[in-house]
Amino acid sequence: MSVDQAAYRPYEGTRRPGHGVVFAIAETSIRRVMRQKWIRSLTLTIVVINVAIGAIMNISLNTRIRNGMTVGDMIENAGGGDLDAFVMTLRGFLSMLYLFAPVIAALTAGPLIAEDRRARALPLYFSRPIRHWQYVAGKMIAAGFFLAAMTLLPPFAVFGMEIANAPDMSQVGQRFGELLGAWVPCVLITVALASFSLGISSLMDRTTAASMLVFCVVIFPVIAVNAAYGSVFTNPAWLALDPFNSIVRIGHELLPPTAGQTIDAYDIPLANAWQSLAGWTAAGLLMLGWRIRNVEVVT
Amino acid sequence: MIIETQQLSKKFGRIQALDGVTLQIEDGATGLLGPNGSGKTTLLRILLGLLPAHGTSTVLGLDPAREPLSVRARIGYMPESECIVPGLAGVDVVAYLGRLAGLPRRPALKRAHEVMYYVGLDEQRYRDATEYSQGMQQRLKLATALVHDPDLIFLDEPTNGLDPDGRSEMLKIVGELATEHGKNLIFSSHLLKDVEKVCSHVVMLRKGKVVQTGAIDALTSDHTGAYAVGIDGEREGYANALQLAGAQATVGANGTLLVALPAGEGTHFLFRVAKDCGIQIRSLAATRRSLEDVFVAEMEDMRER
Amino acid sequence: MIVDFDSVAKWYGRIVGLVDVSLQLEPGVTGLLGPNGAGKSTFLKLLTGQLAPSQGRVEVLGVDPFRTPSLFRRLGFCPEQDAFYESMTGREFVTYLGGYFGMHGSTLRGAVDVALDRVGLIEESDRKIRGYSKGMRQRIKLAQALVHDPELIVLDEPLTGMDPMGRRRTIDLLRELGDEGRSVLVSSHVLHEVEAVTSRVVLIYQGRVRAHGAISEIRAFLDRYPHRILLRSPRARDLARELMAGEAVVGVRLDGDRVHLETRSPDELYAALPRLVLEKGIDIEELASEDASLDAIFEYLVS
Repeated sequence: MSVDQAAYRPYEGTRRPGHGVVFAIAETSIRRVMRQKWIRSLTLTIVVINVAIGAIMNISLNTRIRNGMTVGDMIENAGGGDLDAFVMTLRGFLSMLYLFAPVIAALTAGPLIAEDRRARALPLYFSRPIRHWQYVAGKMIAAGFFLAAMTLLPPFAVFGMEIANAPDMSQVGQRFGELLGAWVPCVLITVALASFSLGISSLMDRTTAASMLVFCVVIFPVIAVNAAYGSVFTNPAWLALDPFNSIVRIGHELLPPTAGQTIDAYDIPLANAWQSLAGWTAAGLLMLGWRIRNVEVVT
Repeated sequence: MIIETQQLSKKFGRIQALDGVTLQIEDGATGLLGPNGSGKTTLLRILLGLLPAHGTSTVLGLDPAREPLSVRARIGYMPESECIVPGLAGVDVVAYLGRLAGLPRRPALKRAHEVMYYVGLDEQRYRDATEYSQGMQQRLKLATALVHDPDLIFLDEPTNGLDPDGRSEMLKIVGELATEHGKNLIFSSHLLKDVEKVCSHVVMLRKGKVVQTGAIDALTSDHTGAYAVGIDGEREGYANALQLAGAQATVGANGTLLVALPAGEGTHFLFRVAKDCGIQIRSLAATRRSLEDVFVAEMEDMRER
Repeated sequence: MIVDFDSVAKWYGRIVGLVDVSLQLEPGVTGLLGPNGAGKSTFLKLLTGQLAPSQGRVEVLGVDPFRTPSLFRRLGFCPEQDAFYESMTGREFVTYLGGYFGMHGSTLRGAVDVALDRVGLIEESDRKIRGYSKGMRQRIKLAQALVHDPELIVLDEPLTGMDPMGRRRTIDLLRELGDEGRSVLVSSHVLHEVEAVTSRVVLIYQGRVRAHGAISEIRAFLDRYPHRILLRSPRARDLARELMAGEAVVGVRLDGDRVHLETRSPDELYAALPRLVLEKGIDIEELASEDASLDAIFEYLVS
């Protein structure tokens, strides 16, 4: 015979303060973004579109290079295409990132800290045994998650297509090298945009405003810098202010030039490209650091 | 002894927020009182390991300056301000904060359900926490302070914004934590009646210094030997009759008379005089100072010093 | 008659705010009680002209508050929310709002001084509100509600965030205002503080006025609930036995030297006591009604 009076019970299980904090924060933040159906749909659509475009581009480039084969034959013998074509597809993808990455950064990374500030969640966080950097790291992973997915997946899909019918392993090795060459700039832009978005997010306490501000501030150099080139300034170094120009430049460095390339590699000095990305990242981290350090838990 | 400080001091620019605070807080429920700007907030921040300070402090045997995370792992804090983790259902908020306190995922969720039930939010647990009413949010904050079963809980104005029902429920839950489940509480509030109900000891701060500590019973047991008498009938007539019979009678609060009995007399004296006047006694109580009386007196006292 | 509600109802679409509310408030201090979300804020908004009733008629100081903006020269309102211009000093804030009430120049300056003095903020009046503590902000809100010397003052949770000294001072202030012949309506959740200011209350629950009048009258009216009375005596058992012998007592509980009684006729009980004390020699150390308080009334009417 027993009676359970639903009283308070002590907790006797394991405790590991400080463990798994970053993961918990990242996971929860990602889940929160994923809960919004329209964001899920949007990101999926973008990935699918990019993969499709990438595939089409790859095939058409291969067709042009290897004339004589019909498109049907090309699709059948998808692998073992011209390495140059693959490289150009990847480069093409990098130069299109500016079309969707700002939007995704604004929507998925922009609100991450703003919503915590609006709900005044930070006192709840920092009265726990967590360190400030763990909070930042967790949010950073969440901020970069969608950007990473959207930038890393499409090249990988095209890579998959390339090696599907690869005649030998050496081809696979080469292509993997190119894939990495495309992934590095993707990772760089992810880090830069994630940091910057979080930085802006930490300054705002409204999620819509944070998203809009992220979008506007990122898009501004993309439009302004490129429009002003040639008229307002002629030194191509300034083009690096647009982070997407910078990653395209770095991409061109990592993906060797092909004979008869048709894409214009801007004459941005490589150093400026790196500096620009570092700058965007640092700006975000500074804003973030300043804000997080000033959190008052007890008011 | 759960908290001990020695000469704890903290200065912000030119403001001395804490000035040589030395205190010892024992097990059980202790009230932390003080006007705005008395250093309560600063003290809590230091004890939570969020702020460095001069002097030493020990919380549950640990030094919050050197091991802030260990301290926070064993403390539950219920903030005064409105705080919520957005975008999650109530129980998920509690489980999440439990994980951040060091509980593994599964036990954190299990524990979250238990604690939500305990604070009376079991019917609301799957609702989005941002939709909670004021009363529910207060309970949710309490739940987040309890999820990791801390040894010491700081409660900052736990009855803020609650209607009378909510207030008595909250005080009941909090009181039980102290009396039935052996939890140590630090209860900070401006509503001293609440503190009297829940706590056994108090610490009073003013302008960064400790002005009074001790057991509430001891501080308020000031039997002045006088009685507050409530009657049905003419006060003046009764007061005169009392004076004539050798007592001292003055007007008290809420229509009562404060009567100092003549030497050697007991309460039956009051009944005798009342009967002679044709008056009915309706309430009778030995006057005691309330905690609020003690507190206000201390604060006024300091001002005069 | 300061406030007159005549068959007032207020609907928000399908949702009931208030229904069937008819009451009059006389000059003096009245407490307004009720659980959150039960109609209190609707009541206050109707009273201060922020809303118009869906049905019925609201009259405050003889006029319809919704249609008579000039009413605000005679009505002071201290809302629950904070809405400040943080960069103003306290004095500037009260002066600014005083201007709205039609005062200017030296009259206004004088009135501002009086108001600031009454709430005890003369010293801090030249600091920016940004730096005010919660208690000070409450007091500044009070000051703006008093600056134009209104006839009726409506206060919604005026004591929130105040420390015990501030609370006492404000309670004294409210009593003073009532003694001065003004009408004061105070809404608060801290019932013993309402009791300290007034004995007249209005209790709103589930969109209706559940009780209105003096606390003791309301209690007497709730005769469904036997009155709970506490007695403390060194001869508790004898006392209990003697009292049980009479018809008045319906329930008894002994707890050490305390006797908890339930009776339907407290008058009879009180009348029986002198005989027990003086003839039977049973000393009574403490006698208290456990439920003639607002807390008890609230519990009976709401829970």
